[in-house]
Amino acid sequence: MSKVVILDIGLGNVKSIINAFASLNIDAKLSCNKAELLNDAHSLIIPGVGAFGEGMSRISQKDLAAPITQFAASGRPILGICLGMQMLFDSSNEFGHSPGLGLIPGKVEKLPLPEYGKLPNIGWGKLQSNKAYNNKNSIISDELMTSPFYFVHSFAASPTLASHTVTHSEYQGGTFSSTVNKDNIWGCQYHPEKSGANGLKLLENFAQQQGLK
Amino acid sequence: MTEYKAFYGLPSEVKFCKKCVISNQRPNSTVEFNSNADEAKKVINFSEDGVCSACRYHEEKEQGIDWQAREENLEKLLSKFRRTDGGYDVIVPGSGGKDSAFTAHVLKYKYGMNPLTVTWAPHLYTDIGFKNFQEWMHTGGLDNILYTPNGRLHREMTRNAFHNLLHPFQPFIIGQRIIGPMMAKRFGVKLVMYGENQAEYGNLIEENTNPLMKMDFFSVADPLEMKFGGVSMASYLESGVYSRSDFEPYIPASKEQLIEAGVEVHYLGYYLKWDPQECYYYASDHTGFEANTVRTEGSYSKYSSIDDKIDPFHYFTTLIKFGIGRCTYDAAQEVRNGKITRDEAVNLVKKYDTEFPSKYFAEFLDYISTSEEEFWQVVDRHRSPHLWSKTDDGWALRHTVDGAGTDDR
Repeated sequence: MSKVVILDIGLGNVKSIINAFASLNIDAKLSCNKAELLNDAHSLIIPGVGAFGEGMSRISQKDLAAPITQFAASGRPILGICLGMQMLFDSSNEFGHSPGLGLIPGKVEKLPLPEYGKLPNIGWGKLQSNKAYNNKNSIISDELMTSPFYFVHSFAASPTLASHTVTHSEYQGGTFSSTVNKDNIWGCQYHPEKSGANGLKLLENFAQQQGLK
Repeated sequence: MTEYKAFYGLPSEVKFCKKCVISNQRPNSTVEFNSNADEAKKVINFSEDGVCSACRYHEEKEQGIDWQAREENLEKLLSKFRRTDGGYDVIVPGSGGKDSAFTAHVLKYKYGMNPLTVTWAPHLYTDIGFKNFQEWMHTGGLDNILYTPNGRLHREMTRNAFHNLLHPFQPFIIGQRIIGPMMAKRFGVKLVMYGENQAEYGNLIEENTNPLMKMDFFSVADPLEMKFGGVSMASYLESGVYSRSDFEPYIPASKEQLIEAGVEVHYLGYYLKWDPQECYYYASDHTGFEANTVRTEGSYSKYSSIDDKIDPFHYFTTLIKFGIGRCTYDAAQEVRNGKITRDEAVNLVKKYDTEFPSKYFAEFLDYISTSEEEFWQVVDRHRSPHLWSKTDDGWALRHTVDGAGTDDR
């Protein structure tokens, strides 16, 4: 049991994630097979690009919500990327209200904008650590704070508890949660698979996480 | 099932490669200056298991080719031509885009050659294209000759090529193919190095086992028989508007002249494992190349073929004639090079392939002196019935890679 499973829901830069793990010599596989996920995977990546409702409906079409919850309960690490991160939360108000996976308490809302501000936020942004977060084993090592990550999104998660936000980032004067963590559940709003050496380091840190149980 | 007529000698049954997203309607490179309206196209090969020849070549490229031996052959070839007296020893034709930027820079700074880069001017430079072109010399540290043909004649040829063949890029391609050997002959250089092999994209694999470009692509026996936009040079001359001297840039050397001058035309892609995205990274590091700030219309890419305002219409016409738009070409290549999965490619094609290039539409119409109404008449006349159906919402593809065409359902 050493495999990283990348959840195959037909959304996200999955080949870039596969290539990223390949370059780190970490065994990773694209799959939506429940048995493979529950029996063989050491950790799970939930990728995603697109709208919240679409992502959730693909998860339910493939009957994956229960296996993901089961996987999370087993204590093994999960990393949601971009939309994959947003779906970890309770709900989103993108194109009407949609329920999420509910693995981290909180909701997903449109980025706060000044007047005449533009969405989406596309480009490179830095991470700033959140004082209320106090996990010693964070996958966001100090070196990751020095270079930017690649963002493309219009919505961002607001965790109910401040201590679930690992890092903040800024967009047009406002701040939002860019990395989140609750126990074994991780999420990043940016795309580590599109963020060069910095992104690879993050994925490596994640894959080295031990399960909590 | 009803059999619809297939134009251009295309296969009447549309199939999509099981590994990438290209369809069996993709024509191979042709000898452009023989091209006329009723010519039957040769198309990409599909094997019985539904895989295209470009994918098969890529499998071979990954496994069956000894790239170390190929690079040694390159060293041998270059040693044969390398000069020590300061003269140019290799001609590199190109635009300063990622591929030619890589080719010229690596030949000069890794292999110690003295390249002269030569550029057949785009119809209408984009700002980013002209900037990258200049950076190629300024940052890349290379010499260049920019060759711009008589704009009035070139426009008329492009207009004819659009109206007669729905192939407005044809006169440009002619120039691009012949400029290398032509400049070699003129400067007494015996080696011409193009970048990527045409066969990477599905020409006959047999053509790929030879680093030499087929001479038919850039040489001609009788210039008067050459056709530009489906009209022979003799007809242009008969019109009385142009003289033979206006055609000087378009008349390639004869085979005999090239053989006598000892000119050899090679592809670097035969000797070094070619990857467009790696070329982009290299050009960005070494020749000041910059990607566009916005994606190209009809696709998701930002760094390939961005220097000519006419270029988007080239891909729009392939969509009309062959049902293959720009995104299909980009995505198929990226699947083969392991950048995206086939599923990702299918989604991208669905999203972008049929997007109309409106950004430079007015300039294009002006360039080819054609009204918008005429433009659509010509376009609709070239839609092959086996590819397009007319619905209440306008024209729609009968078959698409995601199985959502009007005749797929």
